[in-house]
Amino acid sequence: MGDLREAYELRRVQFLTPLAKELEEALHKDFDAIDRIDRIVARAKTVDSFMKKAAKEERGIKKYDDPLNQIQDQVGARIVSYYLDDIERIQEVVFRYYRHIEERTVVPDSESEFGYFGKHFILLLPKDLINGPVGPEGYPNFFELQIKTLFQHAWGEANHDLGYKPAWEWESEDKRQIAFASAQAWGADMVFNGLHRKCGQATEL
Amino acid sequence: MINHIFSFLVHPGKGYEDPPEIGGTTVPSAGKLFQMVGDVFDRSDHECNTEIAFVPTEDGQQHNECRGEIIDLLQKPRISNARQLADRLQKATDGRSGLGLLFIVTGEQNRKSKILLARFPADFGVLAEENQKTLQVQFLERVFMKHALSYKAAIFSGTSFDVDFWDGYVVDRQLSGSASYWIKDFLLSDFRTTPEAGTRRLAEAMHSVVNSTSDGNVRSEILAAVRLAPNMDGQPITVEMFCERFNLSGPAREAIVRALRHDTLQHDRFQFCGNEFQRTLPFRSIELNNNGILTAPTNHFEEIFEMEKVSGSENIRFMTEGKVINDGFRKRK
Repeated sequence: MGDLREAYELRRVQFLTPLAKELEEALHKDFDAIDRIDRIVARAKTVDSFMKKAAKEERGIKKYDDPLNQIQDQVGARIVSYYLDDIERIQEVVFRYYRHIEERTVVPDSESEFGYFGKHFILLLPKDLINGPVGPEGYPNFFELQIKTLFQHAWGEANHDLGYKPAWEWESEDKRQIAFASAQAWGADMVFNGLHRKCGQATEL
Repeated sequence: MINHIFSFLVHPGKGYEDPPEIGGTTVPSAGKLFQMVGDVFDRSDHECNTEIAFVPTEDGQQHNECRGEIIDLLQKPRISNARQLADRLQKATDGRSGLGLLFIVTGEQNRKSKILLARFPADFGVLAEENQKTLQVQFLERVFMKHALSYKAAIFSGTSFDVDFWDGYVVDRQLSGSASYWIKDFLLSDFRTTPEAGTRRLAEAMHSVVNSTSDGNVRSEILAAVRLAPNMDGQPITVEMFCERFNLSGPAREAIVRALRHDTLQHDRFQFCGNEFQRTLPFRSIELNNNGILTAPTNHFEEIFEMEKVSGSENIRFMTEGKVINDGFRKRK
């Protein structure tokens, strides 16, 4: 694991961090004419986050036998929109300029649960951003893009931060509160999106 | 290093209720045919120069059926797995393409697994055999030639069967209009660069050159090409091909290539998109030495402003007519 950490650290410095910066600039250009976007950010996955993912197991077996190659979100980007309806508009622009190999709407497992909501893509990195070798010792071939509303993003960030607190065991009441907060965020999205639509219809009239 | 070679005689089958059987065989690892196919395998990295990417299924999962069959074959190199690809090619091939000989070659190169799919079209030829004083000539049907215009090939390589093999390279000299049956229908893929991304890259390079060059000839050439470019809508093109198509001079081509992020992008193929070209270069603007500025949509500029040279001077006279819909002040040009 020591070798892997060192290899990822090197890749992150040499390729991933500069690439994330260029990708963020590229995305800003792609969405320059699109309104109701709160922010566009891109980042290289931190070393700790990469190592945690590389060590993941599924049914007792390591999920990744070649993590430098297999982990597809070593560079990640996020676009945060105002309203739910904006997500589809943003997706149209994404598909205009990027080739995707995966598109997922991430929702809780059942309709009676609340948790993480977001739209995720695995996209091929555009050739304009690749000026060197592609592979574990160079550029990745893919990046992950998430599209979220402000409320989805707020819940996601707050919940993610809590997940990194050491020596904390969730009690069922804690989990219920987190789900409640997600439901509130979901409700706020519904309210604002509905009002936005009403405004839009009124403007058209 | 080649591990396996499979070969299939693929008749057209697209739209057929009962397509002909596909005969297939494993090619032995020695002999002239093995050597010939080996050469094709080794040279394929140079020949296959159009980058493509598999298109995922509509449910958004990270899955493509053709890619899946390629991975199956690489993991289990059996003729039954290779035949899946031959079946797929048959279903994508109509009568216009005719009979083809498909070679599927698996092997390793640069420490990666590699697969080559190569389709040789059927042609006819003449076999000439000479004895000491005589010559025998024989008409041959079903001669399969690599040099034909309709030769097609695709290569994919990688180390991980989970995440690699999503993009590859093809050679298809018959590309026209939207990507061919080889790319779209057989390989279930498309050019790696989207139409909008490639077109925008070209348009921005031209914009950058026109706005920065002091060479009047280069500027004129590129402006002329911009005017005619919308006629390219839907055609597969590279920056290099675009410059050739519009007969741009050496300095103009070099300036456009220099304006790209890196010069290898001039060979990247995409489908030209007229709408994106217009979106990137919506307005053309001419500023005169009398501080006058003329601005109009790029694709209608010369319809809106008539131009004529003023005799005996370097000046140009512009003429236009229309109804005034806005007349006011601006803080900037």
